[in-house]
Amino acid sequence: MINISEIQKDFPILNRSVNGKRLVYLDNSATTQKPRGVVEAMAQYYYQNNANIHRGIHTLSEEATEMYERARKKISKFFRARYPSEIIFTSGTTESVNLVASGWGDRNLSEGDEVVIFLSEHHSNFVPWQELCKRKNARMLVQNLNSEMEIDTKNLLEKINSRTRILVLSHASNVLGNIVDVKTIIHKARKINSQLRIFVDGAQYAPHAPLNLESLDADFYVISGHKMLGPTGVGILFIKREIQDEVSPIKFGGGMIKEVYLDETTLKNSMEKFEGGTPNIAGVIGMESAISYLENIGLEFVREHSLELLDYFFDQTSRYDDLVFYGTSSIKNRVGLVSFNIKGIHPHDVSAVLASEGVAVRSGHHCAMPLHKHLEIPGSVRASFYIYNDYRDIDDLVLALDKARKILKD
Amino acid sequence: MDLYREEFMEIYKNPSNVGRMPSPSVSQRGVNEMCGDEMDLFLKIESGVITDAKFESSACSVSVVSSSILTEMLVGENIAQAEEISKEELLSAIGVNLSTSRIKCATLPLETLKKALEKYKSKK
Repeated sequence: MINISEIQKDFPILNRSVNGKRLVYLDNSATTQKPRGVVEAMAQYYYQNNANIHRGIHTLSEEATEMYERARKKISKFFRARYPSEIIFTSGTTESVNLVASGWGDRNLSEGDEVVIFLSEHHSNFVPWQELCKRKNARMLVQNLNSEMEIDTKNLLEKINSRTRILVLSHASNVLGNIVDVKTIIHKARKINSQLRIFVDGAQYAPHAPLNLESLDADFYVISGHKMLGPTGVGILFIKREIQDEVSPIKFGGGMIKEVYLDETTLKNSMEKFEGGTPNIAGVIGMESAISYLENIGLEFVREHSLELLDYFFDQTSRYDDLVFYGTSSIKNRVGLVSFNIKGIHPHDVSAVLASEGVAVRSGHHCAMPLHKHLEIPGSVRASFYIYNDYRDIDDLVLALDKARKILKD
Repeated sequence: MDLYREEFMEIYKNPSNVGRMPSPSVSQRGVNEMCGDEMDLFLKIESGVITDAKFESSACSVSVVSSSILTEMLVGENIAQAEEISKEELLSAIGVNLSTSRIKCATLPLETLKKALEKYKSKK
């Protein structure tokens, strides 16, 4: 059995105080804290191995290249991709979405084609597609959610036809936390249109549960490194091998080129063509360490732990009738995040009082304005959990919510 | 905590000048891009002097208190004086220490005012 207090020891930041109070970090959907091992792996690389990769015929460069490519292998195995070359490192999820929306979209979308997407998407998985559709005069069909704030699969499948070029969806929403049965949707959608491409934003799902990219069968899948213990500046972009030829790079530079002549350039065939310029080598090495850490704990454990915390949170808050929760009422269909409001108090005021008590949560529209407009609320408060959170954190959150009521309502 | 001290909370719970104005000289919507909060500001201007100011918002306490204080400051001022109200002046009138992430909440009414006055002058 894994002991949470042992995990907490690996995260030095949890020892600091905030406004004189113990730090209660519940903003993990924005970014998680980093275990000591991740920071040390990056420091060690800079102290011992730092060199540019794929270039020099010297020992350090060879070591750095080996470390970088070893990380790719490890990450591809962890997420069960078929080949390491299906994993492309970017600067983050935003770059990953833009790479596909421009690099694939500009080549493959024509006037009148259709993109099917959901109103609950994070802005970074909404605006690049909106811009693409504008450039191409394509139609963006924005789908609503049902009353449980879940995707209505039957409705969705009716929207897919021979004009649909790509289906864009999140594996879990950053506001609602709902886990979407992406596998079934992909399976059914492909039967309707075998040429359909499917793009899945896994930024909120991948940190919380085991993932098998091969059996999921998406064409594109994006993961955010820093939301799962890794450093900022590392995005993991999965592109299925058969699809990679359909995608053009969006940045050109060193490391991706086969031959350059004065009037023509040929690019490498592999995933390297998407990684022009010197990549975030240290970040990728830190990411490998984060993945090792999660591998040791096991994502099955992470999932169970989230469910226990969600259960406890809903149990501890059930006595308040002024709390409004958003997203599915079924806890087992959630990743470890909950968005809510206290009736009559603006979310900013709630989070400001919480902050004064050392409790870090997110408030606002969480980069999902279309969804908040749909819910007819200006914003919400989001508490999101990860492996180092425990019942005491939730107790402190509940106490701080009481304090917010006392200050702002009484 | 400092932010939610008594005088501040009194204004928040009973803000001045809340409501819509039937036939304003100018009205202006303001949006806080950081959080999506919205407000409407209404001004009655007679012979170049602001004779009434009202606001309506779905916004946080900082924004509401700031709107209440600003609309009170406005009544009786002429357009040039209203244009000169600075961010610093408004923040010091609110009188609480705001963290950097909340300053925008406080300055939303002021930015909305500046836009309203521009609009009013361009209409004249």
